[in-house]
Amino acid sequence: MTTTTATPSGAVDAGQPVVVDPGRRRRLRHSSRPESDERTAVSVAERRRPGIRIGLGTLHLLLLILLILWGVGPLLWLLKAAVTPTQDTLQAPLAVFPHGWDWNNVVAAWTQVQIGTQFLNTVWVALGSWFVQLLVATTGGYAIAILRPAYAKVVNWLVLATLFVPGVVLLVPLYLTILHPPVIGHSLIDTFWAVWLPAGANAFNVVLVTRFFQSLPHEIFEAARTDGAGPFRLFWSIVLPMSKPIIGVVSVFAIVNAWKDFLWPRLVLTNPAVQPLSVRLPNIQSQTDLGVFLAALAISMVIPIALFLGFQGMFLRSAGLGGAVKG
Amino acid sequence: MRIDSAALLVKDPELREVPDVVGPGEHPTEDRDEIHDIYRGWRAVADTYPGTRVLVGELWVPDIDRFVQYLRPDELHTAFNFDFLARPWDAAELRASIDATLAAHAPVHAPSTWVLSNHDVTRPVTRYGRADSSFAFLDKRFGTPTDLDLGTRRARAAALLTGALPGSLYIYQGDELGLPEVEDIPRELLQDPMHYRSGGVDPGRDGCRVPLPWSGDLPPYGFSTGAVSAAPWLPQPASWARYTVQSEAADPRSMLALYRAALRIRRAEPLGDGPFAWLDDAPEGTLAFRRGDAFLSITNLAGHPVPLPAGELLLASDELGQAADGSRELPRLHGVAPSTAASHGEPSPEKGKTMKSPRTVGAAVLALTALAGVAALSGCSSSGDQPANGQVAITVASLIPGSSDDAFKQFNQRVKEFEKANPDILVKPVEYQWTGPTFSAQLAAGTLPDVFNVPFTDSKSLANAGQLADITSEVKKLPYAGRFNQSLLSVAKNDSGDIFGIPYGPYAYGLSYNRDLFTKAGLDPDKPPTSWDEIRTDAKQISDKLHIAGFMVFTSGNTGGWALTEQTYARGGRMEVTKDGTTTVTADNEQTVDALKFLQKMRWDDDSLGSNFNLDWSGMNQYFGSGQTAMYPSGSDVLTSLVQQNKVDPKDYGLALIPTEGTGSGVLSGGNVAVVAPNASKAEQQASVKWIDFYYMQKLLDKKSAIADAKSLVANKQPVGVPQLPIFDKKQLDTSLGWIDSYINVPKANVAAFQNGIFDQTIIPEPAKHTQELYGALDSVVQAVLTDKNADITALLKGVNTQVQALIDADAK
Amino acid sequence: MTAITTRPSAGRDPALRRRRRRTPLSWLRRGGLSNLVFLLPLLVIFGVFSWGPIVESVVMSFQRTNFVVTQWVGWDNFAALLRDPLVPTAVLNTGWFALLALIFGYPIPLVVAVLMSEVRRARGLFSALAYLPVVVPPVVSVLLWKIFYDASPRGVFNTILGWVGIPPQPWIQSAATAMPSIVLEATWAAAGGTIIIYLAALTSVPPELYDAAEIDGAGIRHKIWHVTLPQLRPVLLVTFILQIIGTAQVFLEPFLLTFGGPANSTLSILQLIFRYAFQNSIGVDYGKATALSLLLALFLALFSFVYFRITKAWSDD
Repeated sequence: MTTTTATPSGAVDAGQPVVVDPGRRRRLRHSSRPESDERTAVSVAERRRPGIRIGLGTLHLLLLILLILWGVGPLLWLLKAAVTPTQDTLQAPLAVFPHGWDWNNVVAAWTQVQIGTQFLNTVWVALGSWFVQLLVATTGGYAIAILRPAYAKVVNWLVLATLFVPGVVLLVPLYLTILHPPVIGHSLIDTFWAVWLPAGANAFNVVLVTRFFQSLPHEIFEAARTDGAGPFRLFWSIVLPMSKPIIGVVSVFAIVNAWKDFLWPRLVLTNPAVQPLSVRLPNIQSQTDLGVFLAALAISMVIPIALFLGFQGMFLRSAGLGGAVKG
Repeated sequence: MRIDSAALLVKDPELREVPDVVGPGEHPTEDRDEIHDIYRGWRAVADTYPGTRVLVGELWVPDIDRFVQYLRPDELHTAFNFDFLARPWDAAELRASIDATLAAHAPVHAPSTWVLSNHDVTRPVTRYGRADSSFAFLDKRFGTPTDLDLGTRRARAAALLTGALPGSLYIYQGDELGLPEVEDIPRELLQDPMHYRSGGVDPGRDGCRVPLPWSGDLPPYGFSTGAVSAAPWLPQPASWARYTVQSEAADPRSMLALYRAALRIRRAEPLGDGPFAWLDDAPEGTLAFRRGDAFLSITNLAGHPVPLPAGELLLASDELGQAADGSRELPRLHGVAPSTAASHGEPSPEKGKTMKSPRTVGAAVLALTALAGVAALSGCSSSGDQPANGQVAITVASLIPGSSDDAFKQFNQRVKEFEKANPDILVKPVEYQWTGPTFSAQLAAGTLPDVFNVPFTDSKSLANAGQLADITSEVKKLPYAGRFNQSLLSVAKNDSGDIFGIPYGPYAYGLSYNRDLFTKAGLDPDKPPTSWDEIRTDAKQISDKLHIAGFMVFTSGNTGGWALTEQTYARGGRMEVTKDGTTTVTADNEQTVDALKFLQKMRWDDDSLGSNFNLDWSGMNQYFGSGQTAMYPSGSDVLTSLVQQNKVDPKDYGLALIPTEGTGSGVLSGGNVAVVAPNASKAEQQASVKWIDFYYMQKLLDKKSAIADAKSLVANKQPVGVPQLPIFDKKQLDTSLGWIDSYINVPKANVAAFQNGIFDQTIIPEPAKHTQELYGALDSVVQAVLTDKNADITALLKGVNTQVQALIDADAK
Repeated sequence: MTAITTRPSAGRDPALRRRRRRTPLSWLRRGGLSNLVFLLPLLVIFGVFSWGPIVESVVMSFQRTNFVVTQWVGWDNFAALLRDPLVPTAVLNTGWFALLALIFGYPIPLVVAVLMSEVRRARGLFSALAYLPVVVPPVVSVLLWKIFYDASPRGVFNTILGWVGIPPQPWIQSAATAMPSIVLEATWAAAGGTIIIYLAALTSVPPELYDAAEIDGAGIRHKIWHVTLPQLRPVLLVTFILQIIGTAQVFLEPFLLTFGGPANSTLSILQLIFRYAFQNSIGVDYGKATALSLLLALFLALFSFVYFRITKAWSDD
């Protein structure tokens, strides 16, 4: 039996050959693969030449320095300014702690400006949006890709069509819909639902999940069906557990987008008690002392950055995948 | 020559979908009729070679009649018999398979083939030791209970059974050693893609692909020899030392020995060709058949021993037992079929039994969501306190968001005083700031506070549009209803004269300045500039000395146009002129041009306007409050905001008059109107007017109220004595200020210049038509002048004319 | 193996097909209800919050409303748009932003990504550094850069410029420099994402192509020009059109940094829509707002269509 067909010939899915390269398979299994067995424009042989090596090395060093200045510089400044007395920041913004540091601004940001409330609001908004998006994407993707009722194709096409509609078109009518939602009597303005529910209408997620479900091996489902699994059981016990990767990707997108969202929450969350950070911060800029404001900014960026540093792999893979899927 | 995937050589050229019901030859990828032509060609080629070149097909074709089509004399010689392989250890099943195979092969005169397993199938030693001893790809799971002992015995029996059947015998490598299926290969070493594609559920086929053990006690058991140090691609279990060829060859009771003996007999008889007949009176549950007259094969698949017929025993797979009467008997195969919870069709045991039915979990989630939803939705209409019976609850606008805690405390104090005096009314304060869009949205949504405020510029149009509550009767009940300054009150009326609100807090434009910065720059803070030229020189001095903006004006958020209008009025110009009912926009009037030229010179020649030119109302207040500008024209009531939001100390604050020069010059005025939401009920309207009267009016009319208000302001560190204009008349204003004289904490001298001089000024109301759009358009002009050295003032102003005129003209249509 | 256990044996007559009568009962039995249940969240959410509003927006562009009265005004809104001098301003500004963003934000990430793809060790560090600004919430970035852009000599950037003897710049205080300043901030915040996408594409170039090129004697520059870039073409084409679509709808940066100023020089189309709908004092003009958003959407749709046609022609070469 050769390795070019993965299934025994003649079995049900003989139409799905999988080309398996043993070397590649081994690489996929280990989490950190050495980059040395990748291949890019500059070959191994060329690298050995001193001219190339030095040139490349210098370029890389320069790049590293630039990236540090570019990526981290402004953020480091913000952190520094958050614990610097306001006067120092105003007079000599680039000096480093000319009069020592001072936690007052951070404390004031947390207590007076009550960043804590908005911080919590941001978390709520993110969680709710995440849940609604997952719910819609997984159940919808499941129905379209696996259950496949007759009208699934139409629904899929309708969902895809919204990908081509720029968000701007939705702004006003969506606002009016939130003001006068169907069925529910009164407006959803200043409730989290106004942000959670529209977040679910994300065609990108549905496309990602549908494609993923379509790539799952269907023998498993047929086998499960033969064994008497109904659609709910199939979804809960088989499809979902197999979908952890795509759920991860969708979650990263959902949470990051919810954390960043500005225009829509600004429109529908006018009460400071429910506003997330992204809305509140610009509103209070004029009323807040610069140092305190900078401290508030710094607090706002701590969580996303911490999440990023902790889950770098997932973020970067999602970012790369985003490009691939759009392609 | 073994032909892999022998039924799949030909595909449907149109690559159609697999139909729900597949007729013979209708499958798009398997067993299509054109294949036979190919094999006829191959057979012809094979036949040209000397000797017999055997073509063996790997054929998974369930339909036995179609299966044997491949074995016709001019096609393949033989093919694997997978039907037999997949059958469970059951006499009836195996007999059916044997019968079917023999029957089907007969017409084509092809030899039947017999095989127990291959590289895709669980090894018989393991398979026959399971409760379900058939084979199905999709039923493979981890952790299926196995009785190896039982399986081995059965496999030994199967070896002899297949060895005795007519046709070709195939033995899968390792079966002759009785190797068990290896089921504990570490997951990360599994290689079978079937395992991965199933998401880890299917153990895959690696278990039967572990390299053979040849010799020795330790892996790799001689599989790799000599200089080769690499481990085989799948690890061999440590327990395989007893399965090595070496050790089995030395053991007469091993599987290897059994197979060798069986093969010797098979060749000797011979059993490949020859007759075959079932024994008629064989015991139940056995497979017994003759091969000719001299050979008999019996396999006991029953759960009990069976008597052995007479004859010479050639070979037995197990020890014979002894019946009660001493005759020999074929023992039943020992072992109880293992009971298993993981019966065919249940999910793999790894899933765990604590898993709830998805339906109940789903239902629980839905219920929770629904509950949360109801709670959230109901939350938007409930408030902290609920009115008791007979009480009326109203929401009232309190302060601008971002006001200091102290300011809120003071407001709440006043609320308590009101509630004490009016036990039948419950007041709920809400932060509120008037902006057009918020108002529209709240109006549409019905979530306006019952009492809120709108600026003078908008109250009339709102009243005319029916977007405010008509409170004429309530206002008329007030004792001072007739004493209002009529021009102020008219702002709160619609065109028919009905009253929709009560004006309060009228202001006029003044020049706010920072006394402390004045002193620092060497200027006398008690002598603020009194002419535009003085403003210019003072500003230059301040900016030269202190490197800040000596003077600055609003520029964005519609306040740029607002401030520019004031600067126009101060020179005697007008932005809009109404004659005979038609309004013409006159933004390019001489005085506005002068005002802009003035700013231009200060910006580009003197550089006394600083470097930040994008300031709206709150931005400018912050700019001033943080000491980045020393002077700016503002509303005369701005001190309250400066204290509440920008932490300005009234001692450092000064308010002077804006210089007025030229005929027709005056001061821009404005104010707020306290209004009631249009959807308020009658009772709520009455309560609202009571509140307005209490909070906004009484401190001007009643000594006790004035003192109470002043007291609470002082207690909460709010400014008392912020300059005001009269709602009724100057006398009333003076009287009210007299009452609270001792509480005034804004240094009177600081605001004297304005407070004393304003009553000699002509008060000019804001332009009437499309005020906000006019202001917005003028914003860009001011910004252009301040950021572009070559701004063409006249052209820009003419552009404003056109733009706003179009709006006004559109109204008339 | 399902081939054995589920296929009908030769004995059954394949011509005997059970006719399926489509009745509600048979629909239920076929699992029609559970199909619907699973699709329900998607249908409801998309229906109410996506498809409905899209249709509504088309309808609204032909209406005028003030929440008390709604009336049909036909093409009036579109005509008013054509008359409004702010519309061409916004269009030009948006185009200018898109162009600047393309110049800064398109090729530079490519160069960086190519360099990064050659890094052998610690590429993760480079990736993380490049991506860090993308993770910062945009509001924080914009407000931070607003402070950086303080035009006084003591502003952060002006101080840095002062170190190398350059006089203080007006940054967002002058019409000429405001838009480039906005683009600079936007690029800072977004380039990392583009870099990562390019990097992912770069590392999946089949190595045989490089080997083949080397055999033909290609040097590094040749390889990049003739192998890397052509392989990247699909990704480059897609990111190009995505960038255009994204920059055409820019809102946050000009809104928070300059509020459209100075003198409307940074007023973007989306800001104008926002102003029509949400910033007039009382008379919110939803009709004009939806009309303008429709026009923008149509333009982008047309642009994408033409773009895909052209690029398809290229790819087919």
